[in-house]
Amino acid sequence: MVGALAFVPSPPFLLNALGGGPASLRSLCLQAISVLEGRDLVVLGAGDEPGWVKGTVDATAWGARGERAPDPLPLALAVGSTLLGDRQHRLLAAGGLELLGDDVGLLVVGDGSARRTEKAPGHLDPRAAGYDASVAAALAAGDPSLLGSLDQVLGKDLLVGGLAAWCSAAVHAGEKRWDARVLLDDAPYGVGYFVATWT
Amino acid sequence: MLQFRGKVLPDSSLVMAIVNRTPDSFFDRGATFGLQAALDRVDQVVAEGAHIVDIGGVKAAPGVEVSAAEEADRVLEVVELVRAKHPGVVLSVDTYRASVAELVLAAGADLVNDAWGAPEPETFSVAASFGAGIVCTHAGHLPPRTRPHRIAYPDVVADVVTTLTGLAEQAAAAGVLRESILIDPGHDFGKNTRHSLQLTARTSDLVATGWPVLMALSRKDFVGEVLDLLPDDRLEGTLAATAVCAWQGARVFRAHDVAATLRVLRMVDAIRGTTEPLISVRGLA
Repeated sequence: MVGALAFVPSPPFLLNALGGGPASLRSLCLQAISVLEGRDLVVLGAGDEPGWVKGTVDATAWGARGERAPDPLPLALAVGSTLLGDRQHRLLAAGGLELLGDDVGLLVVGDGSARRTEKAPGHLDPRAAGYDASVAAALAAGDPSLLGSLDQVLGKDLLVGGLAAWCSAAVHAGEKRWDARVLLDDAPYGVGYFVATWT
Repeated sequence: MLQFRGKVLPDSSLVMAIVNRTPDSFFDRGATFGLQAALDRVDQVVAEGAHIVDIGGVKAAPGVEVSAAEEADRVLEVVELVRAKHPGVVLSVDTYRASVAELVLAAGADLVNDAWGAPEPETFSVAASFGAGIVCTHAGHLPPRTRPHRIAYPDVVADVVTTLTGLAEQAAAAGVLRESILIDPGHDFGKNTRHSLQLTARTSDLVATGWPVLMALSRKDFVGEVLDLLPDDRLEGTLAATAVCAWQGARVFRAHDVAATLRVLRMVDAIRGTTEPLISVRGLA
């Protein structure tokens, strides 16, 4: 079981080469990350294969100029790595069975439904708001069992990008009830963004 | 880097706004001849984001003779008042007379837009003595305020490149800072419409000289002839030419329509990758 968790979303615009995103969102993410200070930092996000990952933050696939790196990181890990900046950290693609100790501060990178509004990437699905509300409730309760028992089938339908990361995070968070704070629960561009901390 | 009397301009494509203290210029036809109207126009173009304000007291086309004293009367008080009100804006004066240049530079102007190809070469040393900048223009080797008649060039672009690099080196030799010298191919000046179109198409040849290129295209006759339109209806044609020149690397655009020109330039700069989009959320949220 890890020692603390921070939850952030993974819009590509948070990558520096794509502008770094809205200052307010970025600063909330950094605020959440601050609860991990002093721990062994691990970024947890969706990847191609479960397990430890090495690679380069590379935004060319999303239209940034420059040469494509030979080993581009998956989006969520790239965003997490970017937010941690020059702090030493490891990258973990969700879904594996790695054991993480309580010296680890886990940065969980994932998004809610991309069907929150008419202009959302996946258009409006009326079920999306309720689904994301259940994510927010799980985060606010500090309850790993709620976060780990989100409806996977409906979630896939609703283009919930954070499912894999949250499922893994629930395992690494054990059975404890955490002291939870939700800093952001919003969908300003039609995609559910959550920023939260469990300490 | 472009700078005029210590005022450093950004790396983007830039707009020089036209302010005519004239009763008879071809597009505004005296709209800003009055002092207050001219000052209001300056306030407006500065608010719209113009990087350089270019004040002129004599219309380019042939017409009523304007003496140096009359020209100075028209532009000097505008320069003084604008300098006081907008200390940061680069202030240019459109004149081919060294004596007028000296007066306005003493009053705080930063740049002399010598639009007739330096008929009075002492203008270079006058600009240098104030640490000011200069626009070197290709006016088809014609005297000021004349129109081309059956003018011919073996290769108009080559003539422009040779003439302008010569003038720019002359200005530098007179002591004008190299980063304060602009070259302007002078669309319509000593040129027919086909000449001006060739210069537009081959902007990159001018850019390749290494001197920053100023383009004065706004609502000119070459646009009017291509589209068979009067000055009031030449905005789209002007903006199309602006985009083509900016894409090839021209730096400064002398314009009547400041806001529209700035939008076109920002768009072209973003396509070239030299300016970031103001917002970039689509597909990235």
